[in-house]
Amino acid sequence: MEPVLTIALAGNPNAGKTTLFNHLTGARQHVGNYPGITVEQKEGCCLHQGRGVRVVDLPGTYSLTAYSVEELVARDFLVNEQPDVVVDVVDASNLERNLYLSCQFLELGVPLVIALNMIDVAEKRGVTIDAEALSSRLGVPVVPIIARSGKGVDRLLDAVLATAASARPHPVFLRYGSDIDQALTDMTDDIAACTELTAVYPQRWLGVKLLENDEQIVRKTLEAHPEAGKKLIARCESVGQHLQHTLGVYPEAVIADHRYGYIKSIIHQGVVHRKFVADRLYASDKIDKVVTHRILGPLIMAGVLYCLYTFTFSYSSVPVEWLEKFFALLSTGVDTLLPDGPFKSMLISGVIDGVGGVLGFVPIIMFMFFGIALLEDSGYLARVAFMMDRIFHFFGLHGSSVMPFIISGGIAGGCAVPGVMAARTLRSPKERLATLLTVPFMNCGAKLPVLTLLIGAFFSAHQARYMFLSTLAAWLIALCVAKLLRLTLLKGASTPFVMELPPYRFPTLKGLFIHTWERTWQYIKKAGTVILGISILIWAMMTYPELPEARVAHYDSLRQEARQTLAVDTEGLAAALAKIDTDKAQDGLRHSIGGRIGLALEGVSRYAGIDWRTNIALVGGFAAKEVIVSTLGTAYSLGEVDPEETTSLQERLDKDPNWNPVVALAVLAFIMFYSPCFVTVVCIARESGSWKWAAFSMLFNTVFAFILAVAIYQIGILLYPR
Amino acid sequence: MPGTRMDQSEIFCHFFSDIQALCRRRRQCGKRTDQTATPLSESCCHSRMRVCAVTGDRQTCARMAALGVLPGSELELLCKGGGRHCMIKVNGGTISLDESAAAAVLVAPA
Repeated sequence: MEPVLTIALAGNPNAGKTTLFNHLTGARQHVGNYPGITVEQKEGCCLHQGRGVRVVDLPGTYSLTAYSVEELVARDFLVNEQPDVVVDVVDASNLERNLYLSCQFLELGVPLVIALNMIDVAEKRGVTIDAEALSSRLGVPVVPIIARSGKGVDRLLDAVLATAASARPHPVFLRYGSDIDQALTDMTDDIAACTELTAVYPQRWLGVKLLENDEQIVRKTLEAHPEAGKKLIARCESVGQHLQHTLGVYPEAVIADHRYGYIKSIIHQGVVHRKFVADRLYASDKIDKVVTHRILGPLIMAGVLYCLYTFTFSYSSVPVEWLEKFFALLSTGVDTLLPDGPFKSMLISGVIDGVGGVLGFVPIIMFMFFGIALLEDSGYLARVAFMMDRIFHFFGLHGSSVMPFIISGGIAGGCAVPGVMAARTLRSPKERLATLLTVPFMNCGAKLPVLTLLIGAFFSAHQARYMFLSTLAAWLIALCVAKLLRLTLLKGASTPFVMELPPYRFPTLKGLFIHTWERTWQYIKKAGTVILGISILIWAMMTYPELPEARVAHYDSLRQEARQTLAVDTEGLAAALAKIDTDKAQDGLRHSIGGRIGLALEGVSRYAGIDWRTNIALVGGFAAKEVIVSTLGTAYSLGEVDPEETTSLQERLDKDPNWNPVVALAVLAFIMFYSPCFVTVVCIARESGSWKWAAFSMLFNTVFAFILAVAIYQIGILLYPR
Repeated sequence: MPGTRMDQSEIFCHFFSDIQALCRRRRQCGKRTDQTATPLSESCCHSRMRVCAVTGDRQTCARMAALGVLPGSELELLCKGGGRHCMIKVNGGTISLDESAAAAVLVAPA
């Protein structure tokens, strides 16, 4: 049997690599219409003509020089893993820019197949590309494809198999002008002496990278061959100085200029035919002129976000009610069918109230994700980043920090874990740290149910408005904390921000539904597994140890006493028994481990109006924020005695004497800003390279959130005394 | 000649623009025609330009060069954001530059 073939999908950001990867492997990797979605390489498999193919999706890059983490990941894979074939996914509608990377693949001498993606978009723009002519000019197979629909993908795989079967190509030799070429010739002997490096990289390519001042290659050369390395660096510096004096540019600008010149010469040799004039503005540019306008742009952005919240909360209220009724019915059914005991208590208070409390928010999550998918797939989110960039700079963050913020829940519903990971794209360590310490302040998908629950219970008349305000508050606090960090612990200059904006695209219904369903399914899966486990654990913490026999006997004697004294008055008896049962349940909860923790914390939390039962939920929220809703569900259902009057958690909180709008606002603020969940903390430790920052994040956020909650509560009760 | 006639979208965009700022920029543009190079951050909207120099740290210059923003290349300033950060079209792609990056690109009318 033939060995499995390894192919790497490489290309510019947003060229459609992940779309092709999903089509080839049947995976559902996240694809977004903005650069930087894929930071790590992803793997999948497929079968073509009976041959197993391992497909590796690399992060999008503009060049093979180590300017960013994505470029390093991609280059290291190509050099160290040596895939059988590199499929360079090229956006046909933006050929010139995309061929710049292809040019570097040719110089590196990797077995290359060019997938000319989005030819339909190019044709709509009046650009036709002669794939055969391009193939003969570059000397590698060029296959037109449409990755979205899968058109041409079989032909692409045929070309991949044929390329894998042929001999490894020689690196292409490009000329870079007399100064650079002379320097490369002079460096030949010293490069040849660096045997450790020449075993991995082509000689001329090494010379070019040294001239481009590629940090990784310079370091490797000096480490492996210090003597030859110093000579090479000295030669590069002399060329650099000469070019600076004569042309006022660094060698990399001259190299890039010659590469673009080479590409232009190819394109102008009958490869590209344009039906329209070259400087014609496309629809995307025309939209941008309005959508990113300095006055209209922010207004449109605020309007779009407000519409998203209105759409989510208006249309999802009916299915949310259905689900609430369904879980209430289920709870009543279980209560009627099963005999009293710990199992029934666990099913009702642990499973149904816990998991049901989280699942009840699925319609809201689904509508919110659909809206976000629409903005993301259309390319609008990248424009949001462009418009937010200036504000971010003012607060000491980088333009690239916008995406981690949005991914983490900048538009409520994201997740801090990928947000923290997306901060890798930042080059400056201080800006990266400031970003990954502040992204957990965003309203992630796990906080969304808690916010919806409390806003629904106490501010139901203006649900969308309050959600919108909570998002603005999250942004404001995160940015202010970032500014504080950048002025104190993380002082340092800002680095410039340059980002390519993807063109606007019409999102496909299929794509929108896949994105919505994938994210919703993740939420449901988490509710059915992690949240279920934690809910049961917390239910056990809130049930055990049970009341001592003496206390149980005391309540039994109270019941008997009530029966004897109120034998004739049936209504009075029922009320008295109900009160005894409620007192017993409350006493039991206070006696349990969870109750004791909650009571111990109440000494401090009462300054923010937070009672001991809510404390149990907040402690559970360290494990996962979704657990807050399920724990509140369990804590507030334990005192319930009449199964005929099963009410939703929202109604229970609304009726509870310890809760009022001021307490709700203080609790909301605390939940929004206190310690990130456990997984995010681990991720911060990994990304920052130190547990010190993870501990800082937990401690700082909790103290900050507590001070904010106390301030809200104390001012609130002064303004609105009970 | 490219850039001298406004198409419909430009008229629409100008219609919504802050008139005062627009007039100020036009005056400045008139003055700049005889100057050799001005930073992109201070250039007028919706015009074609040629890059004269890219200043700043070496890594930023290299990254800009990889994106096609290098001396001699032609670009079109599409839109300006709230401040001096801007959106340009170069080699068929749209690139956003923040204030410091835009200030590092010196341009002259194409």
